[in-house]
Amino acid sequence: MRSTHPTKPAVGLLALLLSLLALAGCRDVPVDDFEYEGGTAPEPTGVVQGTVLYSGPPPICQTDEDGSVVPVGNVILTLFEFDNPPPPAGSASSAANLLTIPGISFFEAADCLPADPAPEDFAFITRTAEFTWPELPLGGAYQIRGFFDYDGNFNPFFSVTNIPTAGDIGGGAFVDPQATLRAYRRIAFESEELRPNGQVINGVSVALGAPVNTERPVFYLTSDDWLDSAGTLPTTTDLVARENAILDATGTTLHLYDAEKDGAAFDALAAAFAAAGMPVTRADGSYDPRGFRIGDLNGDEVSHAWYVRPVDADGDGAQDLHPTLGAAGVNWLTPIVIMQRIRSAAETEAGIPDVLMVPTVSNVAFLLQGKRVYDDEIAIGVPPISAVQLNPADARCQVPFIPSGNTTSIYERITVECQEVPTGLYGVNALQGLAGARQIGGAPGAEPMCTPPDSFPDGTPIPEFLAEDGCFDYPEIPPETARQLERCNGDNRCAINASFTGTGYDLEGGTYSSQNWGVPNALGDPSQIPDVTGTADALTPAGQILFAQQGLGGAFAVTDSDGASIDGGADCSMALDDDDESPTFGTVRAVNYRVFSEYFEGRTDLDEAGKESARQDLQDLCCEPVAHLCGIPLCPLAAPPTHPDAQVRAGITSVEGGVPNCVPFEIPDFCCPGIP
Amino acid sequence: MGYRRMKTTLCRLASLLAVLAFTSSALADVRTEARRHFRRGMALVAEGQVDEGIAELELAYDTLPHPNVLYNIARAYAEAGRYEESIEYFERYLASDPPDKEEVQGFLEAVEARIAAAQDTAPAETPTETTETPSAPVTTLATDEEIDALEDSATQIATLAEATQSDSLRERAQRLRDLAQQLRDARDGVAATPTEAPMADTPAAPLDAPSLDLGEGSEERSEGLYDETVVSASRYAQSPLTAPNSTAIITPQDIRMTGHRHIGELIRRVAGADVMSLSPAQTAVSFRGFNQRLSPRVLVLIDGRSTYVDPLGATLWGSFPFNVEDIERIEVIRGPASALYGADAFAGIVNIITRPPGEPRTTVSAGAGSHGQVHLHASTSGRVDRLGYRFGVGYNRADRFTREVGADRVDSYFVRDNDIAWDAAHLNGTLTYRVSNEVELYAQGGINTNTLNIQGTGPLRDFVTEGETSHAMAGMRTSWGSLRFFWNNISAIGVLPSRPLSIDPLYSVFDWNTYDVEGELAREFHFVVDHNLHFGASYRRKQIAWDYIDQERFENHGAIFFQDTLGIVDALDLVLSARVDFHPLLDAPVFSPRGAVVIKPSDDQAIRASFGTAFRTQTFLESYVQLANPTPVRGVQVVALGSEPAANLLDTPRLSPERILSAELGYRNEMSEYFDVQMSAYYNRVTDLVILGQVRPFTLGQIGNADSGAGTIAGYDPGTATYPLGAINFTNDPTVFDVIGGEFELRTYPVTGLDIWANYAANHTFVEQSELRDTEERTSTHKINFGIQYRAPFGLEVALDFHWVSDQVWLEQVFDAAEGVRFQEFDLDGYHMLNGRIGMRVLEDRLSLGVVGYNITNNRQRQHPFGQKLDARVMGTASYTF
Repeated sequence: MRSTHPTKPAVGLLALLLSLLALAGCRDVPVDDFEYEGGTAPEPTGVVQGTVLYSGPPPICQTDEDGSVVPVGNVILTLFEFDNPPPPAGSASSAANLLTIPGISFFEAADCLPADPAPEDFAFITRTAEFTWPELPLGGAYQIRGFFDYDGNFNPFFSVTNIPTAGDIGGGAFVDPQATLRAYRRIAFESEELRPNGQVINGVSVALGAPVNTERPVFYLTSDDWLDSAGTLPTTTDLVARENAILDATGTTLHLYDAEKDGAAFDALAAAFAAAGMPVTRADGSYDPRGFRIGDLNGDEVSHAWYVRPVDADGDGAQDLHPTLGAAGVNWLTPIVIMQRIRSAAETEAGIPDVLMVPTVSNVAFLLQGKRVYDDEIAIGVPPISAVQLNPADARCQVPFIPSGNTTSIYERITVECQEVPTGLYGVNALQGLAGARQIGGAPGAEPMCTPPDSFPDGTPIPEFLAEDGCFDYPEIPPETARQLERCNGDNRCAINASFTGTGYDLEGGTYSSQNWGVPNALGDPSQIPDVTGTADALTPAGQILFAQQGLGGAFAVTDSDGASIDGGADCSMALDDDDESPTFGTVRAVNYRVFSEYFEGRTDLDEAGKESARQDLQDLCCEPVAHLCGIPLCPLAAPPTHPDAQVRAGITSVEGGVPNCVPFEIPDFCCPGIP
Repeated sequence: MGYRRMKTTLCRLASLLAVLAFTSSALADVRTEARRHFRRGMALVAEGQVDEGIAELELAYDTLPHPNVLYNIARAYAEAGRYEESIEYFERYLASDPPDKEEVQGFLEAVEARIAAAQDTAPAETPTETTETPSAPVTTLATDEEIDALEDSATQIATLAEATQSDSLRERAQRLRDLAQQLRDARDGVAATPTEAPMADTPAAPLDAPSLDLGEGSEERSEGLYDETVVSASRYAQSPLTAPNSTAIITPQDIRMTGHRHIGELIRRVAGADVMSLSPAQTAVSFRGFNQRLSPRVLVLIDGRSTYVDPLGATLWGSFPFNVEDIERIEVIRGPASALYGADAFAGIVNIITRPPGEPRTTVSAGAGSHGQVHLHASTSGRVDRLGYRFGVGYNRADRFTREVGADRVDSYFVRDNDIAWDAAHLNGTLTYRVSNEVELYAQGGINTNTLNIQGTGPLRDFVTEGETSHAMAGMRTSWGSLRFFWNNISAIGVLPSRPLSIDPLYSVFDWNTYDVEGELAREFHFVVDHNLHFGASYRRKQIAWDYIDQERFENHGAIFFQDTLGIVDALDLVLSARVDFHPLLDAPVFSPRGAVVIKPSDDQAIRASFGTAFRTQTFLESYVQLANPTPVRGVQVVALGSEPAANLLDTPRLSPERILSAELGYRNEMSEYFDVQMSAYYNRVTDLVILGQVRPFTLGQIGNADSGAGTIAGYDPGTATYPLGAINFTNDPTVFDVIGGEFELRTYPVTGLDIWANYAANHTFVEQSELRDTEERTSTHKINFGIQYRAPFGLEVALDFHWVSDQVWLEQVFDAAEGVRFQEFDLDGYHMLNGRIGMRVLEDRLSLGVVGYNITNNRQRQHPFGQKLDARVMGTASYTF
């Protein structure tokens, strides 16, 4: 089909072709939509650039595989939201971001500490390195805390390695590094709207010059009892008695490991630490600058400590009330203990919500009197109130579950499900032990603390050397004796000066790190617990840092004593009332539980219909993730191997299309309207 | 669309159709059109209407050249005694270096001898006249009746020429008129000596003149001429009707008419093809589901050479060392084909067959358009005696559809140009040498130096590669089989072109080589029934040095295969195939059977039932990668591990090959000259897909602790200044996928020059035993293609392709600050594309001008969650062939 002659269209096409030729390369390539708009373009971010100033001892070095001498440690910088630093100043359990600078960026081979250093070899040196911290969310305000991981044993992903240890050099980005009371610099980014191409903040100086003198506390959990899922809070109006009742209810204690007294348990712990690449140095062992020193509660070097002091998370200068029990007058102390119900992989797949409980630690009364507790064991009380996270994406969806029969007034103001605490095993984490603090003047002990009794409680006379100055000389007391002397006060407690830590050390600082943070947050990390049914023989597979005391064996159990998971006690719609002005509780009245009714009450821009709609939206937001669990029967009760005398809900055995064969606790009624 | 606007549009469409209908007198699709002319021509010749028949044959040849048409024209002339004309066509036929070259040359000599004999005889009978009219001894033999017949024939051909607007027919008619006039003039000049011997019918032959018998095989060459053939479905040329698989062919006309430069866009037109354009340099292709970036489940062959990039499991379309102008045709085989091609022929095969050497043809093309599009091409082919050659050179360039990071960003830095998506220059050459009628040697080589913007795998996305892609191939084709060796190489660097400040761009050097040897025996014989047996073996050595894998790696693969097509009866074929592959990382050889029954109720329709399996083995990336992946937390990385290092470090199971089991029922009908129909229904069961799993957090014992008994990962990497959160390793997805689907294709040629084609594909996947997903919806449930091609007699060409797919849902991995890497579902709305080309052929079709529109409606779609957002593009092209 051949044409015979060129035609006008051909001329036109030729002209068009030439014009297109001229077009080639004339147009800029458009940028895709940002990721949050469904596109592929990364959203604009903030960048911090600056300098890290190191002032500390020469680094330990090692010979690399290629024969070069390199420093062992690296600089670790952590970024926290400025208004929510880690405890005790804030409640952040995890850094928002992490940046590292290799030690080789600071030091040369000539800087290295000699193999057999003399004391003068530890004289401080000063070095600097540049840093660039990219991909920070715009619109946020941050503070930078950091340290030089002198011994190279830091790793952010494991609870035993994710804080500074003794010998590390701490610091941060301060407003004035020379100030006595140093404040963190506020590093604020503008919004994405103002900075569509990102924002770079230059000239941020990070000063690292405060040696960390303490190791982090290493603890384990013991319980004389376990919490009954249908338990109730104490009903006395005496705040001290109420707290003591809570503390006694579960008989649960956090114990610091002591290299001298924990025997076989310590050996297992030390072996696990060694397997984790962290050699442990006993109190009487030879000094290893890279060794981790556990326990040594009575040694002559600064060691571990609970840093028991009031929590001031809101920064108002006053002690905060406990988030769960605060309405009942219970204060909030460090360490902050969080229990999170351990979920199996099947439960995770099935979308079973997370359940949290926040216990309270002991000794409110003594704090009120300016006194501190001398103890390597801290009693914790576990209130029978759990927080179920229906939708982890929105904090408003955290709904308390309270068993029937509890006081009502504080819960009528928020969305509450009157329902027993979900049974199961709860992994335990403690925020804010102590690390990074600076020891002031060595170990305490000379100061008289109290008048000792003439004899021990069993009638054994107190040795004279302990009583010659009217008090005991703390460092010289054998551990066993010291333990017995803890009960020197009439209330079985031994008070010490409030400027000392719980274990008796006079320390300052230590606020730039907490015991437990990670990326991601390692709170109750179920992936480190291989078998939540408890049938696994060894909870410590080779190299896995899972100790019997910290893993399943140390998990806190919530059991169901009567086999009736729901409404096992009083009528859920009726509860003890604390508003009757009577000295004791006991008045029973109808409870006005609300469904997300606290929200939007103050909104003046919404009429009643609008408020109701907004509430419904919120309820939908919170309930949608668990809607598929409505109507599914409860899993049967079973006795876990670790608690043969108790009953917990058995686990899910199958999941089909995200729907499990049973649920380990009931989903809130308000999420399942009309479904029994 | 308002009523008025719709009405206007409909009216315009109707007008267009009317114009098309009334301006037409020939048929449409070139192959069909040529076939029709050919059949008519042969019928006319058989009826004794030689000139009319030859005119039709010439039309066929003009429409779609084929040497056998020349042979048949020559033969028709020879049988009509018009030897001089037959000589011309025989010589043209011989120029194509046909297999029967020697026979035809012998016949040609015989014809020339006969003419010489006739010339010798004529002077003996009419010596005086011959002396007086030496220039035309034969013409003196013409009678008035013969001259009248010749003029009548010229008139008829002229009529036909006007009807078809055929220049060649006009020329032909004019030549006949001239000849008639010449004869009449000659006769008038020698009226005193009329001859008894007719000019054409019975020239006097001397007794010793050579025989005109062409011998065995000299019958007309019409068998299969202009019928479509596929060679990929069974490793030999056969009609798609008898192929054991569902097939599609993309013709040179499709390539030319659509104006696409990218092969993937051509394949988009095929029913059941899953095609997603991720960037102008990268189009991912699969069939019947399970498409993903890098196209790992389709085996793409170029002239039988595998282009599968083993380290990535990818087909890098933009790195091919030729342009679409070099393509003779593209064969698409849907469904598993491991029984013939081994690993990687999982979802189907694309066999790109380049233009053969020897054709006297030189083409120069150029194009330019919006978005930095440039297209240059030059190729030449020809023949020197037994040596055929073809050489080509070309260049392509295009800007990205979109870039991920704007040039004004202050939080990023730029490693490479973020505007260019495709910048590639290539050179290729092919030589053939016919040793004898049964033995041909060939050699081929090519190199492409390129910059490509491609989408990576897992959470790693926007890559730029720079380097060279090279290949060399040599082999031998004989009547009893073939032997082939080829070498593939890619030497390139890869890098993420833009990154947040101080974030590693993952720069890597990539050097990959494969060495393949394939031998095959092919015999047709009769034993109880007819057999077409193919038996062969292959060996492939693969080598990769790449910064992303743990160390330089080598692998040796082997395979044996056979296929037999049993002609049970005329209407029933049974196809049996099997292959055994030996893979170094698999404990046992992989057996891949295939069977098919083809029933032919008539010559033009077939019913096919087939069953087959296929597998895909792990790539080097899946086997050996060991790469620190940055995360949004600057000091944290996730280590990607291949199955081998993961087995050592994490004690994870080694990978099993991906497997597919397929059953298919198909029907094809080519009975009508006005339409073709093909339909198929299939069931696939897919298991063991290789996926990048979720992050497995390291235990402390795995961090830098050699005493734990397991392998170790460095706790802190000073090179990247990061701590490893965990490993993300390739694993077999336990999900079992059951897929049902089908395709319906219709191609019709209602009026002259008009092709209308449409196809529809349905696909639905059922998921079993899944831990990751409730559904598998990355493949659209519905896909529709619709197109029109029109070629006007005066040279205008118009092509429009419409493509629509329904919604998709993708499960892809993204970096996450909390988990390192996690899966996320991405909804992808259904989208449509409208592509088109308008062109003009002038200067006797030698010059072709065109304007190509891509995504004409500027539907700003994304064809993959991470793909670039397509824009509208336009490009002008000019091509000159001589």
